[in-house]
Amino acid sequence: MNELLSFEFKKIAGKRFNMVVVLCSILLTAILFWLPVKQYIVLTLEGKQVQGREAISLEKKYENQYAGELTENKVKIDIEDYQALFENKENLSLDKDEKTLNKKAASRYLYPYIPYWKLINGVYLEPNIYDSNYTRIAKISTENGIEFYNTRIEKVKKMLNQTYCDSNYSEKEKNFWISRVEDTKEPIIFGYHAGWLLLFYCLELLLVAILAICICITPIFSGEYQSGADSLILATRYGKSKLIRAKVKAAFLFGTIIFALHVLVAIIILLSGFGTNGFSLPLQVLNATIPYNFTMLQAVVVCVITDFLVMFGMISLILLMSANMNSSLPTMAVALFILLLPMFFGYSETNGIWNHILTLLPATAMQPVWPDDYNCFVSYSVFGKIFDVVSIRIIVYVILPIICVPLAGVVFKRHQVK
Amino acid sequence: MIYRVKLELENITMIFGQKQAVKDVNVILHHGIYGLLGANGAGKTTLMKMVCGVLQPSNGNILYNGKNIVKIDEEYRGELGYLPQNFGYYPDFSAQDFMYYMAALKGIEKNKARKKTQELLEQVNLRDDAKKKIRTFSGGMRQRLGIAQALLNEPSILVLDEPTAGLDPKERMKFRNIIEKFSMEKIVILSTHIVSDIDYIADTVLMMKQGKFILNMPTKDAIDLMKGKVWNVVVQSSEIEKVSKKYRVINIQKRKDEKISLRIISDTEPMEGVQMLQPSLEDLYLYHFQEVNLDE
Repeated sequence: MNELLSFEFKKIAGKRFNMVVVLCSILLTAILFWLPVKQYIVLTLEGKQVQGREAISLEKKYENQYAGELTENKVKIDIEDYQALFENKENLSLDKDEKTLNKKAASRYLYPYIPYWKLINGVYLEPNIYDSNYTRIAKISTENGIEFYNTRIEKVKKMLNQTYCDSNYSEKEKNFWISRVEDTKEPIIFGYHAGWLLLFYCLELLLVAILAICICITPIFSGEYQSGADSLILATRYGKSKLIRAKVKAAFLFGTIIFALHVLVAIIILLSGFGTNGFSLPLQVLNATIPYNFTMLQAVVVCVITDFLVMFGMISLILLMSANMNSSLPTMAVALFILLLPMFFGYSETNGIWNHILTLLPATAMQPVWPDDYNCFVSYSVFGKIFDVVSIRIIVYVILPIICVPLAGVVFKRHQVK
Repeated sequence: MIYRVKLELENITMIFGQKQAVKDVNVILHHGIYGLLGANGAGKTTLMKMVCGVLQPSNGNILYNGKNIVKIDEEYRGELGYLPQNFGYYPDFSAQDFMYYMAALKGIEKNKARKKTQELLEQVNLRDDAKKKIRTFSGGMRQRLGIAQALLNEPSILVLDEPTAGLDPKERMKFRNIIEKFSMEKIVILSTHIVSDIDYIADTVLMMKQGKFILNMPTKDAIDLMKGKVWNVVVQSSEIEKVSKKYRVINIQKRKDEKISLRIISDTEPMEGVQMLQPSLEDLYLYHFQEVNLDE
């Protein structure tokens, strides 16, 4: 390793304060990713709650009950079986106007298989409609086939053609998304996938790691000004050239190592609890309308890459701020503000531009779009070309370092020791 | 005469807001030790920072061997050794690591850096503390480490801002010897409040007042300027106040006979029966910088 780089790395990694920050954030990440394993709850066929690893192994058994290719015929048979439950009065709840399964029947035939029924029922629901009793498929006619895959395309079309208060889809965007959904693989292969779903829900918690990295690298330039070492190093032969490159490399190397460590801890803990089963299943097992042609594993890789890029983007912002400020504290405050901003400002019901910006901010950019019906279909028109939100996030966080890092270098080089 | 190194300061001016810290300084430096003298706020540190390229002058140019230092950039800084006043250090680095780090910044080849580090730490009496973290060092030890790093690249131009601050007399003597040995064919600019250090080792005195050079000459000649201006006056203790109001008193000494011996500076013979003394650099310094309100 380059000598200057190793010294700059040592300056960041060798600080006691930084060591404590990193250890705490790894510990916190471990706890945050262990809790879903520990607190996972599943109902037995008798309606009894089980928790933790026992619940996970039961979930595996339940979800694998419907495992396999979801051909039109298989789905039709399953829907007919489901509808048959509603023919038997013993299964029905009497205290409701609508035909719904009573607690005993639901515990036996519905609750254990909710991921499957949610997927099938969801295709036949109108956009914006939520059906907590999963009764929509109990009412559809199966006589002339169930048109499972055509119905999902029709649902997407309806969703795209709806009028929204914040922003509507252009014709170009509609065509883009329809073709994306049509391009997804058919038939969907169903199976146990709880671990991967939980990963999608939890990956944004890696924000803790980014926060820790930001805290550690904040003094990278400003620390030199603050301690008075700037006059010493800027007067050396390579103080305005190789040193800047070494500092930048050290910050990114430190960020990469620490973030990778967090990612490993997070994924290993979660998947050691839930298992890796389902890694090759398509994303559509979560929702048949998802317009991305990824397997679970590929989707997690895309999320992790995005998270890494968000982290790089934050590092480059910190580098720029650190080069500009004489103290580490304001840099840290601004970094915190940028990271936590989306937590204070939610999505707007009327302002589409704000929503499109918010989706790109670090904390929201770390949230996978797949489990959400609408975020999946967020798109951006750039010079007449349509980009999905996942690609735009990647582009934005690749561009950010390209702009910020050279600027940080120029600012440090021109720093005046007053 | 052909000089190996030449540093020219052309119309150097530095303005901070409304304040002109350095005013139109012009000087040409060749090899030798230059003692930069001046009161606090005279502009010495600002001038040194500009010489070291860490502060851009508001106006003027600095030329190294005829080339503008802004243009030759790395080449110039490669010839530079700098010990700033109150420099920052890395508390988690050992003295040895700090030296290696500075050597890497100065572009010194690894093996040479190792060798030079041992040699310099030995010279500044830090060899036994080489592996100790700097956070455990006393002020004097840090200062010695600062001196050692400044010499690492065997610079052609060595700029030392208050290098003897925090050093005990023995260490100061050792420092003077190191610098004297080092200064052959090199430019050493040394700023200190300890006038005797300059008296001992500086070939030339540069005196700054309110951002301007008021004196630039060989130390011996500078001291000679005070010839006939330093006097010894013997008075009763009750007369001290009266004499102090009229003359610049720079030293008071009690004699065995209970009288008081005063070292005073006066352009003319202050009174009858006084004894003319051999002047020193300190007399020159106080002549220019001692703030007194004398009765006209």
